[in-house]
Amino acid sequence: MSDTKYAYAVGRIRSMERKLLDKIGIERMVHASSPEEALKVLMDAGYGDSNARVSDAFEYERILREENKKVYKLIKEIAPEPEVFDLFLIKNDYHNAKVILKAEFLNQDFDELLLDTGSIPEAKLKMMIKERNTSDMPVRMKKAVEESIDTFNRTGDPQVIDLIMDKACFQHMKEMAVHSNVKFAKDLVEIMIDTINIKTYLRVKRMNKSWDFLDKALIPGGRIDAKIFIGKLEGPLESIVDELRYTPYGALLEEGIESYKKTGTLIYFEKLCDDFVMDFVKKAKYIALGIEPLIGYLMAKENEIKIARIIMVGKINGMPDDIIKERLREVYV
Amino acid sequence: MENIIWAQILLNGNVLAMMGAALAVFLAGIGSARGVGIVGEAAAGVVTEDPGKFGQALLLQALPGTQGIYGLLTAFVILNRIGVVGGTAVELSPMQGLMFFAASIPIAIVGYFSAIAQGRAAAAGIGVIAKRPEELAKAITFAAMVETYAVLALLASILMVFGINL
Amino acid sequence: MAMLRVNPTRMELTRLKKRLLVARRGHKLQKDKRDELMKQFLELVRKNKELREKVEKMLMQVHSNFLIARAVMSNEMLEEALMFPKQDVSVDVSTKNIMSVNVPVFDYSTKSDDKANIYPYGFATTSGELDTAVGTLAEVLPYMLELAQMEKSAQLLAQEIEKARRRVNALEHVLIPQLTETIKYITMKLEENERGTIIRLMKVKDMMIEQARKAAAQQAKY
Repeated sequence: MSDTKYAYAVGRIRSMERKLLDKIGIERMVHASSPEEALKVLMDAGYGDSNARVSDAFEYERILREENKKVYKLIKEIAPEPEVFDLFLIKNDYHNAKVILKAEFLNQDFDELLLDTGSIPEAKLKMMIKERNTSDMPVRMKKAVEESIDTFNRTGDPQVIDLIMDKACFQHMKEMAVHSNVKFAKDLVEIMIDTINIKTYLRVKRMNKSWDFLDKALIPGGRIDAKIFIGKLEGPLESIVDELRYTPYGALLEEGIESYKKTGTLIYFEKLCDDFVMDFVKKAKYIALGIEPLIGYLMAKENEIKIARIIMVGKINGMPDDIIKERLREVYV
Repeated sequence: MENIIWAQILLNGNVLAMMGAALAVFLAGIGSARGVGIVGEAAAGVVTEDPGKFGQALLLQALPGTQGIYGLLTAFVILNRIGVVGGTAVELSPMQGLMFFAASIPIAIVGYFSAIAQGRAAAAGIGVIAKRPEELAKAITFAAMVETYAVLALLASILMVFGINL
Repeated sequence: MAMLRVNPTRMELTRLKKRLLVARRGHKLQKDKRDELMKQFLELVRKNKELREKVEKMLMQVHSNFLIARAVMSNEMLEEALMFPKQDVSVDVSTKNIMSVNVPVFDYSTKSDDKANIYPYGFATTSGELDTAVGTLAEVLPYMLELAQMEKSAQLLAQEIEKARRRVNALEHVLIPQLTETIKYITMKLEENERGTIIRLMKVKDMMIEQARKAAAQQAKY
């Protein structure tokens, strides 16, 4: 009964869930008369530093980043097995690795793009890559870094860095999830991989790229076999819907592809994918004890930050309220 | 030879009855302790964020404690019947001793598991009051439903203890 | 009207008449050139306006796509995705002659021929809107170059038109009137001189007749 050791953490999370922005709070943000007003709603929800009122709406990016950091710090503090949550942090490590590699190939300094929320401190990672001293790196990352350097030197194509790193990142996440023995985390990673693959498939198809490129871009480890996507690259969009109709993604694909065909953009599809992941995460709300509510809260918070960013960008750029609302993701609470 | 002496001691009626009483106290007690512990941890989590919920949390935390009390009660009744506490000591046949032992089993085992189960239900209840403090009564009701089976086990144990002819 | 300071001589007159002829011809030529340039310019401006509207529309679309990509991706992720461009574009500049005006011509070439080879990022951490934005930007590039070329041409043409117009005006309102005036003046001056000579001659003749008559009368007296 190892889930009982999460009792304290779950208790705290349940309390904190009350502070998450609900539909009403988001509505208030959307209908705020100015970006500053919208930011104030965020601050009331516990964002930023309560002592220093931020009046400049353009500070929002910093506030969101800090909130993200705060959440991870808190989760790692209260979780009995904090290393499980590294699973959600390694994507920042891979992001940093990408930035470091590209900066090196460009011979420029891009340190301001490094995130300090990774599981490996960014300065250490930079040293490791710079000196090609990869012995301390996780095996998966080490391999990916080496492969990126090698392939880039041969082709000079910066895209391969991203492709290799993204692939490695999610494989690494899946490995960690499997290793942690948390089924919820494993399922979550698999769903993430699948939704990303579906989006990748549509984007590659739209770019008219060949199947071997798609093969490079797809991430293994999901529930949908990559072969299905590769096989359906040619031909009408409906064929992929038919192929996957009886999987959990059937409804998502049907609705998403219809909207894609009507509008020609993937905006709504991406929203549906995020909502799909969120729907899965919401199951955590009904689990009384265990790691799930913590993962749920983490995802809810990331989702909330995403929503907040959409609203703030929309507000600052004077998008109409209903257009902002269309883009918004489902909320956790 | 040694084995036979050990067997004689173990099959002594009084020893068996005492063991039954002990079992009822310690299994049900462990269960309650664990149950109360789980709820306590969850409650501490909530109180960290919101100290005002202390009273409500405490109420929920107390729920899984009853199984331990039932265990103790059963132990008392057994001890009373065999004359260890009050009255005169009775010499029990191995059969009678075994019957006392059997009578303690329901509350011991059901107490252990129901206390933990109740602890989990109450911890979930803590989750309820973290979000909706006004629903405390409902949270308590859900946790208290588990109590039924501990009470039934207690009833069975007590009936059995009193049903043994001395 | 101002006049050239010249000696009113017959030689000067012939010279000025020749100059006037040249000026008249020059005036006509410049006028024709101005009109033709004007025609070309108006045509160019019309095309320019069309193109400009098109480019602006496309850029607005890019902007709104970027906005959405920007909204669903964090700042760092977006910048990382775009920090290393994949496609290299080089522009060659040559010139073309329109009515003796040298206008620039831009030719661009890309490093790789694959039109879909413009996306320098992976898919997992980026939004599909970014594809649209980058794709539209790639589409808009040739138009933007064309627009730049057109605007520069229009600017140069306008300068040339201004110059031609000034020349026409100078010829029409300054040089030609000046020359005509001077010619008129010289002609008049010469005529005046001629008349003066005739009068003088007549006077001399009269005086000579008078003298002759006086001499005849004296002879008669003796």
